[in-house]
Amino acid sequence: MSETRTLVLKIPCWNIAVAGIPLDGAAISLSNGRVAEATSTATGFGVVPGLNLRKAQSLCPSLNVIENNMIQSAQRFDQIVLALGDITPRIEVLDPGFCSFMTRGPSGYFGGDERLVEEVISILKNTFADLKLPKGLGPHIGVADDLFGASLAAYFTESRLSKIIDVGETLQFVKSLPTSVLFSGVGSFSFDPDLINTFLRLGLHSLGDIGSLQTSDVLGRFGTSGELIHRFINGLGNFPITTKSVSSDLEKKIEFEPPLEQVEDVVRAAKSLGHQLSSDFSREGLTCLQVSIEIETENGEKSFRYWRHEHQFIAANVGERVRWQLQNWLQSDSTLTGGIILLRILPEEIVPHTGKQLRFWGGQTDEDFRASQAFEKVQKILGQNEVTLVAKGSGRQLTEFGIRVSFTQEALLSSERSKGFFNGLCTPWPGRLPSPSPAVVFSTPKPLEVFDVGGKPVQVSGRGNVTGHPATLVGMGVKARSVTNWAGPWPVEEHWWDPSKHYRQARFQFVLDDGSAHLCVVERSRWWLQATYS
Amino acid sequence: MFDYSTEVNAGTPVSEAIKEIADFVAPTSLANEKILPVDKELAALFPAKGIRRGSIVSVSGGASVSLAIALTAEISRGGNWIGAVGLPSLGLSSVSEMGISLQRWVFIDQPKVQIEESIAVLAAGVDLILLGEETKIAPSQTRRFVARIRAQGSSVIFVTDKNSSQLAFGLDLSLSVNSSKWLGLGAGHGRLSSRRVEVSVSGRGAASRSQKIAFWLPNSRGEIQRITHSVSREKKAIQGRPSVVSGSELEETIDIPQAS
Repeated sequence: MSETRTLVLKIPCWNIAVAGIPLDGAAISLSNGRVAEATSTATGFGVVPGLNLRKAQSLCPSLNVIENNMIQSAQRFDQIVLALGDITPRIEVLDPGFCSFMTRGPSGYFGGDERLVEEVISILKNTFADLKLPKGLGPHIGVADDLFGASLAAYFTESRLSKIIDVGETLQFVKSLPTSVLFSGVGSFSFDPDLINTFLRLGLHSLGDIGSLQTSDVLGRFGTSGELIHRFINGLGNFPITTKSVSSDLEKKIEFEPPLEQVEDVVRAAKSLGHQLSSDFSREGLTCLQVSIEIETENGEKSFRYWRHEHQFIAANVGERVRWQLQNWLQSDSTLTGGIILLRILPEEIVPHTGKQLRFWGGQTDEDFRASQAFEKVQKILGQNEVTLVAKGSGRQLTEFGIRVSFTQEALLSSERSKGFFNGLCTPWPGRLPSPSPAVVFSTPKPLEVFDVGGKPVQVSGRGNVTGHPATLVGMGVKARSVTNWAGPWPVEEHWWDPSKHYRQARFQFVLDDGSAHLCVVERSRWWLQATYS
Repeated sequence: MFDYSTEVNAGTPVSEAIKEIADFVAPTSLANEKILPVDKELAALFPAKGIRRGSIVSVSGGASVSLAIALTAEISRGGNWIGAVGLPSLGLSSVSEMGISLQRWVFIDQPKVQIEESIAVLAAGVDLILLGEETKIAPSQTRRFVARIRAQGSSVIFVTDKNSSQLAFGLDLSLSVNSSKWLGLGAGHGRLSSRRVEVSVSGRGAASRSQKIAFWLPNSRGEIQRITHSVSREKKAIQGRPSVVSGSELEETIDIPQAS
């Protein structure tokens, strides 16, 4: 076990700190348009990693937003790695702000894991001061028998800077954690939130529950991504920390003779290179997330840039990147002297192509995909909040049955909108109206007046007795209607312990002379039309 | 969700029963299918036994909202999306009670700008749009709007409680609730339990011969049920208790909540 014993160092809010923004305010860093890191103040406002910028800003308008500058973050983190090089030379950087190393040698040298951690912390403190990083930057250090356990331990340092899991107790520690820890990703590895939601819905609330399943069952039911989680939990898996060098035969280049003068011509050539690239990769079952593009003119001027894409590079988006790069170059450097003679595209980051497996049920279907595209377009016309979905509500009032939420991709997939509730499988609230429910429910009730046969207003006494038989109904924007049938009062009283929410009302059902049926309530001696059985 | 068993029961020839089962287990909506399925009891309203894709239907009269909701049931069950535009007061619990999942419903309560454009864009993502009467389509835009909806293969149901089928649109089918009578409520006792509605159908093409069809919307068990004499007799025979035929009979069978 001790052979794989690992120390994980995670510095929260690294990108924010590198940008020189104080960590005691509300600040976030963005990556691919989504929140990557949030300071504790921002988290207090409900801003958590994974949100999009618009949502984050609506939660906390005073948010200090920085775009992740990976190059700068990586450079600064390199200095920390260099400083830690005094302890061990074999440090693996997983992300800027996140690295790990095996503790077997260093721990023996310093005399135990506790000493080693103390040493790491003292080095970090000095380096932070040297780098003039903002105050309040606290490293999280986890030590456990494997990388997965150590990464989890680094998340659960609580108020201290480090958490050391004793030798042989890692499995026990990992299995005691709730399944929801997987949501934020472990280490550099992020898991499919749908899959985690599925685990939770199936009642697998702790990692131990998942770990105790049969491997074959997990693989059969949840596929490779489920099996990977299962392996991690049981201490069998390890992150594929491989520095796989990209072989140069994957490079695509094209030389132009005579030199090209038009941007569009270069873009067209880039598309054909992109096409070759992606077909090469798909043959190998790989996909490319990062490329570098090099453009050279006949007089030796060069432009070199890295480009990253969220999903994969295909012909069209390679062409786009080349167009952007060329246009930027032309704008920033007006001294270009000649036409383009060389275009080179080199894949920098290659990952296995997992494909997109549609689920048997749950998850997103093709219909959902088509629908969400349309909803986003409508939101562009009408505004974000005009397109709403329904989430589960609770309460005795008709208006409390469901809550409207603005359409977002997260809302579409959220577990609150899980199937059971919508298929009517949830038990009805006690005190709810008997079915059938009215098909029209007014969000703001309409005032009414109700009179008995003698023309006196009908009231309900404190003991729930009506003062007369309702006969005429005035209101609803029409002239007086006569009541043919009625029933009530059915009293409802809620939140009597909370003066701001407390209400007491009596419900009535009325059938009027035109055959229409309505639900009305009396509250504080006033009548309201609440719903219509249209 | 709805109990079909009674129809397949006694007296039906075996071959017909098998055919019925075959219909029931068949996939409800295929991508290339031109008809959006509706509840079996309501199929009689449509010449094609379902809502033709790209058609414009109006549902008007007293029980229009319930009827419109009921028409979405099978479509929703097939995993398709339903859009409700200009229907901010739609009772969600009544939708749920009809066995319809709200998971694939999207609401646009009050579109204020570019109404026609928004609905046409929405139509690209959903299969059926319920359009409330508060959403006014400018008369000058009507022809273009209808053409766009048709081209996209979605359908629109206009929902209005006005008792008129004369809308400014080239309606394919107009369903108008002529009479609606609630049962179960007395003078100071009982509760609303069932409703008998009579729907008159008129339209173009195969639907041009107008007809009237009566339904329980819902019956005392909360189901939608077409009223034909054979069905009610059969139900009576099977269940051995008075069926929901008349108001007086019904009041004997319902339980009356005690007013405290």
